Amino acid sequence: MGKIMIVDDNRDIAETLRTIMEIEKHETELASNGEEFLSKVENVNPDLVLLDVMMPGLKTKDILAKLKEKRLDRLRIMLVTVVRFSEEERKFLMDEFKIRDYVTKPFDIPELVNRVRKALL
Amino acid sequence: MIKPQVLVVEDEAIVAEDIRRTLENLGYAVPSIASSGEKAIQIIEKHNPDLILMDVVLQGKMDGVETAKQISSLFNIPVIYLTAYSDKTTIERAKITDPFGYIIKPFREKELKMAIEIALFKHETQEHLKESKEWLSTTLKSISDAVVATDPEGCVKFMNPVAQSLTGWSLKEAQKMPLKDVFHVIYENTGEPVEDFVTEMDCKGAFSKENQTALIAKNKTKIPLDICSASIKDERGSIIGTVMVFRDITERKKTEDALKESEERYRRLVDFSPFGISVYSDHRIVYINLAGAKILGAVKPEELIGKNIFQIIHPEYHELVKERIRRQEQGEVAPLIEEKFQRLDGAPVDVEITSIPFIYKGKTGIYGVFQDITERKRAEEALRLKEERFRLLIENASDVITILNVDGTISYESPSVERVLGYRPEELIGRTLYEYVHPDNLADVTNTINNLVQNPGAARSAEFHCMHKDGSWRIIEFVGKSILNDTGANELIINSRDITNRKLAEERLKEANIELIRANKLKTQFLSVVSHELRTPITPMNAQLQMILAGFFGETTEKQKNSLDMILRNTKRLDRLIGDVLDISKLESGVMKFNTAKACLNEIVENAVETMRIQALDKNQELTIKEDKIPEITVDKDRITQVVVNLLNNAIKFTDAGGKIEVELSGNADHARVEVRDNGIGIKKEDQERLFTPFQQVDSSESRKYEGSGLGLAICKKIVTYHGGSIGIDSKTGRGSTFYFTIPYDYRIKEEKVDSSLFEKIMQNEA
Repeated sequence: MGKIMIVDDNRDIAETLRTIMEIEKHETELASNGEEFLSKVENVNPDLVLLDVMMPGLKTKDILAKLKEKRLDRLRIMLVTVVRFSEEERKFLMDEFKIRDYVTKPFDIPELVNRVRKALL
Repeated sequence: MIKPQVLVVEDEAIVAEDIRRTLENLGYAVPSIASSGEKAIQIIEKHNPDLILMDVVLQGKMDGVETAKQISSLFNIPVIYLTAYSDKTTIERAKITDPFGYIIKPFREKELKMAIEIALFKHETQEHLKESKEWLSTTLKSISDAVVATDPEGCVKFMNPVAQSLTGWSLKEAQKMPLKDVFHVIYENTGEPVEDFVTEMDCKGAFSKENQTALIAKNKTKIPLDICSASIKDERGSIIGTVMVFRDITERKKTEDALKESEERYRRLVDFSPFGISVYSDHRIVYINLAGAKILGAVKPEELIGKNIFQIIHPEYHELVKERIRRQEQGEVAPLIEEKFQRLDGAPVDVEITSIPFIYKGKTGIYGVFQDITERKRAEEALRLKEERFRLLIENASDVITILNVDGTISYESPSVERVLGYRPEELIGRTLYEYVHPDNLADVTNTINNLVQNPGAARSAEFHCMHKDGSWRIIEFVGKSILNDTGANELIINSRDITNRKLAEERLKEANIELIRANKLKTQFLSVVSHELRTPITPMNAQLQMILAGFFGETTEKQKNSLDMILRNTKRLDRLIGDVLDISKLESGVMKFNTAKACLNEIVENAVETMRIQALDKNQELTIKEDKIPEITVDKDRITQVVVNLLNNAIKFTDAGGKIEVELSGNADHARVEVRDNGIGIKKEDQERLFTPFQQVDSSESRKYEGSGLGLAICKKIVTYHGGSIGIDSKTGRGSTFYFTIPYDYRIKEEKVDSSLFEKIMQNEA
């Protein structure tokens, strides 16, 4: 199975996501903000990042920009957001930052699991 | 005294000499003696004697009788025969020559003298008679009147040529015929014949005008006549005939008729003229027409005839009229003037009158033409009052009324200008408007004025800064219109007001509006943050519950499961509520971002139906779709999907298990229509209206069993309206509902100024 990195400032959400991922037999690694994520990501070398949008500290856009700079081409990112993106926005995220997919909060577990499975293929 | 000259014709010289001596003794002159007839004629030609003594028996070719015959035919000289013979044959012969005397030789002196004197007298008398007859005949022939005379028996005795030609009878034919047969005269009015000319005429010997007569001529033509007649009486007074003088009056009658007709025509003109026409003489009305009588309150003109004119002239005008009459009597024509009359009932009446003097029955008469101008005066007064009212209106209006010439010169300024701009009207009149216009507005004002001048009747408005007398600039708004003034020139009526304060208020309002928009944005941002913050705790709650229920953390009892289900259901509901509140607030404040692109409505509807199919299946409902192929439309695909899903969600929710839901997509010439029909509980008419307003759920205990924010349809309406379409419902309680919405094919979506950077902000952790 894969290695999933969960980035969320909300501890409960992060723990919940970790539980779900572990039920799915994935290895998990947590980060509570953008800085921590960026400092760990190369060492952890995850198969998929579940990245929360709108965390205090480093802005999502900057996080994505920095990742792009690091040229971690293999890294798959999935956003976890309270905002529903439009078609256009989704397209932009995919083209610009190679975002695989996104899930909206609160999420339906079977749907989340499906999307994660799909992203890891 | 001249001696009468006597020619003696005697062939016996002694006898002749004896006669001469006798004649000379008697006081006659004997210029010569002729011895034969031939000689006698020669002497007569030479001496023209007054009398001839002729011997009957003469030597030569002609005897005395023959000579007398010739003399009688050649000259007009009386002849007395002298003869010794008195035989019957000679006397008979002599008689034929109509001699003046006859003396038998031998005669006495006395006898001779008597015979001569008688002959001379007789000759003279005969001459007189002849002359008189000639004169009468010439007179009768030459006069233009016709003359007919009768004898005592009433038969025609004489007709002059005019009478002959008029009647068509010659004297020869008519003579001795009864007058009635020749001179056939009838009364023109009755056609009855005139029986007796003398008795049927009046004392002056003529027919009266009413008894006009006419002659029926021989050829049956009818000729109107004027007849005079008289009886001819002898010296003893016995009637010995009748003489009639008559004349053809055809021409005169024609002239008279024409005159009568003309007079009638003019009389009618005057009688029925719409103007009052009167004639007065010696201050008395002698004529007035019907219109004049009516103006004066009379029914008939007769009521006014004979009245003193000062009875009908209003007392205020008596002096004026007296003066006018005085001048008119000197021949002046009075001009048209306004005057006041007094009606028979005493009421005053305004008139306009013109009058001219003329000779009426040998005196000065005055002919007056007048008309009632009461109505006109009233209209004039009404107009004056109206003008006064408008003047008051203008002068008391709070707006400033200005009249400008086309070059911008001020020709009128209402008093309110002083209140608005500090100038008194007289300070501005004659100056040009442009002097007071702010340089920045000058071009604009000039353009507006020129535009007004070039478009008569059209209204134009402008705003400009105008110099107040105190030196400050006031903002003036004006509306102008170009009109033709009473001299036919173009001028501009300008209505202006000071809008400085209004402008300030507008400015403040604009600022307030900006503030409001900002506040609204803040609200949206707040809602955005709130929804994030609210959703964050829901997320782990929701996920944990799902995991417990999925049995990841061990077995749960049925009761626990029910309880956890309830919690999970409510976290989901809370999440939807948050989403709806966020949507409606974004839609209402206009910050919702629509991403429009060409899309296939068939696809959108099909996908929405497929999305909702599971829910329908859960309730064992039959969900069907019927669709036409719709052309591509520019829409926000996600939002339209949201509308269809919402309608379907409602239909599934409010329809009992096993119900039927039909979706139909159709298109006409200009728009597509989506209908979602169910056979559910339906909605009361009175509740249908408020379905589309936020937080309005059909409020009854019934609806409580269906969860929902009450925002869904309000959101749908906003979305559909944004696309230029409409949304509605057709439903009856218990009979199901049909919700529909339409989307026009080519509606140009307004590019609203939305906060398009919301996404941007989210990505930057700011929203």
